[in-house]
Amino acid sequence: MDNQGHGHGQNPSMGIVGNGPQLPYGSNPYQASHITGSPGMVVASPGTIQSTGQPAATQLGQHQLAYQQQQQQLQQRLQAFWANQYQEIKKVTDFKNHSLPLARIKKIMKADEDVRMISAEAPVIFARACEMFILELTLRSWNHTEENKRRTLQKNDIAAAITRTDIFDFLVDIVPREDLKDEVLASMPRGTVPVTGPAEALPYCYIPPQHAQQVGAAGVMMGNKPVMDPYAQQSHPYNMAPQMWPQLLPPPPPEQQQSSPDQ
Amino acid sequence: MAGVREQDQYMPIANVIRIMRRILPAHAKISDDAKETIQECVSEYISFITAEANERCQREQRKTVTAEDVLWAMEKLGFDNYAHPLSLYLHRYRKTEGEPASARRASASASPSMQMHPRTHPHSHPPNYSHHGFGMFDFDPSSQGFYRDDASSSGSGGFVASFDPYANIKRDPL
Repeated sequence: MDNQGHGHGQNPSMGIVGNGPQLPYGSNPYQASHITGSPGMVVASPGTIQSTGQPAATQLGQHQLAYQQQQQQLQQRLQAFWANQYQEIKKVTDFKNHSLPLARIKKIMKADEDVRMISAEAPVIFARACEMFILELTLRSWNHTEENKRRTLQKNDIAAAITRTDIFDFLVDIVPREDLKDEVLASMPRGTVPVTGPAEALPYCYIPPQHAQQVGAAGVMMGNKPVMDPYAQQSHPYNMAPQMWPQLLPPPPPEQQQSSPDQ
Repeated sequence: MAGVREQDQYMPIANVIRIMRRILPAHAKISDDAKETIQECVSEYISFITAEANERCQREQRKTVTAEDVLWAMEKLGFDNYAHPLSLYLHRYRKTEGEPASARRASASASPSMQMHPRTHPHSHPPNYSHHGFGMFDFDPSSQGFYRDDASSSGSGGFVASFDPYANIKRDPL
């Protein structure tokens, strides 16, 4: 599912269309074009949202540009990272010295009482896997550090990386709620915070498509709002598992050959 | 006892920091709480993957968690980027270590099934690799379906999608 490292370029037009509604920041250019091309729609939108629409759009635009550049840089780094991993593994000659102690890995594996016996190769694979894991998590965390123009990698940077990376969802319990909250707030420009009020009042499921298009800013808020709710309610694994990872369900997914995936 | 257990729960912090520094610029600093957080994350990662690998083991009524089980679990849990190079790593590891080492470790672990594994795994390895590819495609269909739903009704779909942390994946390509 997570092919960020491989950078799929297929169906770019679909990607652009699809990314719009899914990404709070991705929807901004769409909204911006609406404001520019269709002033009437802006007028038609609710007064509360309209009053903050333009400042929010402006701030969103500025923030989005910096954010996009940061994300592009991260994407490039990740691609280079994974390509480098493959190359390094091709060149590995020393399989006896590991960056992490195998005995410790085995102990952690055995901490699960259900685990009976472990083959000698499993900790060897884990040693390399954990190395990759530390490197990827550190890289993504550092991206957030740079985003905030700091030089010290902090816990909230790790929290941000965990929040933004789907495969790291299993780590949400490790970072406290405060750090997650900081991440959510940090990703929202100040001018858009007041819009959260009316957005909260609106039932997400019942907003008509037309309204959705008109209130792009509200969409951005809703994009951020639900991210906080699952964590606050501590129901994240249950809520997300059916949608995100069907493979986590008891019956494993059938193995079928598929044509090239559309991302 | 508690102290010893706590230490054993995590990877040595010196090793963790050394690995972190490999990918950070020279001027980067790491706060103490960040170091500890990464330690905790690594242990959680091992437990997370191991639990999934062990489930497969039990489902197939085997007692020994193998490297294949670990790789399978990674792919199932979305760590395709890890499983692919690690599959190559395992393959090269076996070539280097050879049968004697495997046999020695097998006897050490006193596992008859372990002796069988090397015989069957080399044969299953090629399909295993292709399975990784299929696995990746297997997960995509649901994504595609979800994706199409968004595309068909961009407005309402957007709001539904915004509930989903899956959006975080899409955020990166931007």
